Amino acid sequence: MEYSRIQKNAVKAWMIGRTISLVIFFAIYYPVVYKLIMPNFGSIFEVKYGLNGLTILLAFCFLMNTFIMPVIQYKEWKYSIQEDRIELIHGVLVRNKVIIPISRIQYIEIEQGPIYQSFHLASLNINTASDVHEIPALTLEEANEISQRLKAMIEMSEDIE
Amino acid sequence: MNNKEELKNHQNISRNSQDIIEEVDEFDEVERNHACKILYLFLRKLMSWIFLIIIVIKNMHSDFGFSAIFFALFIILSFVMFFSMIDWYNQIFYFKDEAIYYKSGLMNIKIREIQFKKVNTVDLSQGILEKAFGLAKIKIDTASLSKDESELSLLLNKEKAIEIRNLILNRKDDETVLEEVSYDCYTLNSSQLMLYALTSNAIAKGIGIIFVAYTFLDDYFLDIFDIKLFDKGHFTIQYLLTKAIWIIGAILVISITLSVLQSFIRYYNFKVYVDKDKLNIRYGLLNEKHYSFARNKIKGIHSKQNLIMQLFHIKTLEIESIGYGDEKGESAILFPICNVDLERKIINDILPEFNFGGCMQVPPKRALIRFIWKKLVFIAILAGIFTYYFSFGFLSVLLFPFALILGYMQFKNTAVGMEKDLLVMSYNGFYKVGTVVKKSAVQSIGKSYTYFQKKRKLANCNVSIFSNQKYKSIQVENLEDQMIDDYLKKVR
Repeated sequence: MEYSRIQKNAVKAWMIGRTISLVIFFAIYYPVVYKLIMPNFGSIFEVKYGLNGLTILLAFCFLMNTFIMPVIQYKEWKYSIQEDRIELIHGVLVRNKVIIPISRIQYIEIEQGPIYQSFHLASLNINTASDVHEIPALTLEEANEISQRLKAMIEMSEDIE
Repeated sequence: MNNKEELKNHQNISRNSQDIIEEVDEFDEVERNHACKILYLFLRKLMSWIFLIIIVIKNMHSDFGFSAIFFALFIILSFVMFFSMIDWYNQIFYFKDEAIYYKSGLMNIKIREIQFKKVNTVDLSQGILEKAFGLAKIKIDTASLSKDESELSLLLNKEKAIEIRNLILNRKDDETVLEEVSYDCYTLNSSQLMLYALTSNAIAKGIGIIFVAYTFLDDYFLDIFDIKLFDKGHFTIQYLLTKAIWIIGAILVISITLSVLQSFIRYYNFKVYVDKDKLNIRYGLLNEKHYSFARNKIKGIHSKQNLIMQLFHIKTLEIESIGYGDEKGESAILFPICNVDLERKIINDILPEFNFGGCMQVPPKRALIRFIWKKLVFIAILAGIFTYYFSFGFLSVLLFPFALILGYMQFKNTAVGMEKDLLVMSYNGFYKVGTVVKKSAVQSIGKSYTYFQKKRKLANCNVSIFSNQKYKSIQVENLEDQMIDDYLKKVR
C-alpha cells in the first residue's frame, strides 16, 4: 500500500509555532512561580523542591516537544486515500492508525493559520458525523486537490447507495 | 448515506418577515398551544423577574406602605401576563406538505420547518398538572445535534396531541397513546422494579440524597429531631463502634428506601413494545412519558452493569438513538433490568437486527499485565506518600488488592466481535458496558498502541460512533494486534 507524506516544511512551521507557545508559557510561569510563590512559601521544604522539580520537568517536556518531536512527528506522519477509505498513520509515543470510510465523511475543511500561511502550508480537516480528523501540513494545492477528489468520491458513493 | 440526511434534517428558514406573515395568513388552519400554555409562560417569566420583585417589596414597603406595593406588584404581574399572552398568541403551528411548521416571536420571527420523515422521536408526556387538565405535552425531535432542547415542544389537548402524533408517525387509527396497550409488550413487574432499585447503586444514590438534604437542613435537622450523633464525654472505642454501626445502618435503610421510592416513581408501569416499524417506550407514575421512534434510526444498544449487577448477571439495556435520552437526568432506557435470557428475548423480539450470533474475541493472556501495571505503579506512589506523611498511612497498602481486582475485571470484561452488519464491544471494569452497534453507524475506526504494547503485539481499538454526544468514542484496550488489523479492513 502506498502512503503519501506531509510536507517537510511542517518541521519548521511546528518548531516556530511551538517556540512561540513555549515563550508565552514561561513568560507567565516564571513570574508566578519565582516572584510570587517562591518568596512567600519557599521556606517550606516540599514546596521548594517540588516546584524546582516541576520546572525542570516542564522545561524538559517543552524543549522535547519544541525541538525534537516535530522531526519525529513529521517522519511518522503518513496518509493514504483509497477508493473507499482514508487511512491516517501518526503519533510518536502512542502510535495511531485511523480508518475513515469515505461514505461517512460529512464535509471537508481547509485551514491555514498565520505560520502555515508563511510556509505555504494548509491542513485538511475531515469531519464525520461524530469526529474530526486532521491531515496537517499539506501544500494548499495538495489540500485543494484532495478535497476535490474526495468530493467526487463522496458524490459517487452516495449514488451507489 | 443515512446519517447525512439526518444531519441536514431540519431547516430554520429565515425570510423576510413580510413573506412569512403573508404565508401564514394564507393558512386558515393555524393552531396554537392550549391556553394553559399561558400559565406556563407566565410562571417561567415570573421566575426570571422574581428577584426584582423581592427586592422591590423588601426595600419599598416601609416607604410607600402596603397598598402602593400591591398596586405596583399588580401592574408588574399584569405586564408579565400580558407578555405571556402575546407570546402564546404568536406561537403558532400548521401543517403543510408532510411537514410541520412552527412560528414564534413578535419582533424576531422564527419559522421552523420539520419534515415528517426526518422526525426521529415523538414523545408524549403528562405530569400531574397536565393530567388534571386533560392535557399532554408533545415533543418532536429530529436527529439534529445542534440544540440541547427539543426541536418542537407543544402543550395541547390530549386528543389533539395523539392526533398529531399519529399524523407525524403516519398512523391512522391508533388511540393507544397513554391508554392501555393492546400490543405484545414487555413490562416490568414490581419485583423486577424492586431488584432494579436495590442493584442500581441504591446506596450511592441514597447517600447523595441524604447529603443534599443534610447540607440544606444542616444543624436544624439534628436539632428538630433531637438527634445527638455523639454524646460528649465518653469516647470509648466500643461506644464509637456502636454509634458508627447505628449511623451506617440508618443511612443504609434510608438510602435504600429513597432509592426504591425513586425507582418506583420513575419506572412505574414500564412498557416497551413495537408496532409496525415504531418502537414505543412508556413509563412513569407522576410524570408519564411515552416515546415512539423509528426502529431503523436506532444506532446501537448498550447493556450496562455495575458491580452488583455483574455478580448477579443482570443488566440495564439502553439505546443509542438521537433525540432520545438527552433530557437532563434521563437515560435512553430500553429496559431497566433483565437477565441474559430476557435480554436475548427482548432483542430477538423487538430489535432482531441487533442479534449478534458470532463469537466474541477476548484479549490474550499476555494482555493481563497491561491492565494491571499502571494501577500498581500509581498505588505504589500513593502508598509511599501516605506512609511517609501520615501515621496510619501504611493502611493504603489495602489499595493493592483493589487495583488487582479492578485490572482483572477489566481484562475479563474486554471483548470484541464483528459480524456482517454489527460490531460488538465489551469494556470497563466495575461498570461493565456491552455495546452492539450497526457498522453503518461507525464513523471511524482506529487502532493505537504504545511501544510496550507493540512489543507484546497488543493494541487498543477506538471506534467513533454516531450518537447523541458529539465525539463519542469507545476504546477497547489491549486486544490482539493482528485481529484489530482484520477489523480495520472490514469496516467500510
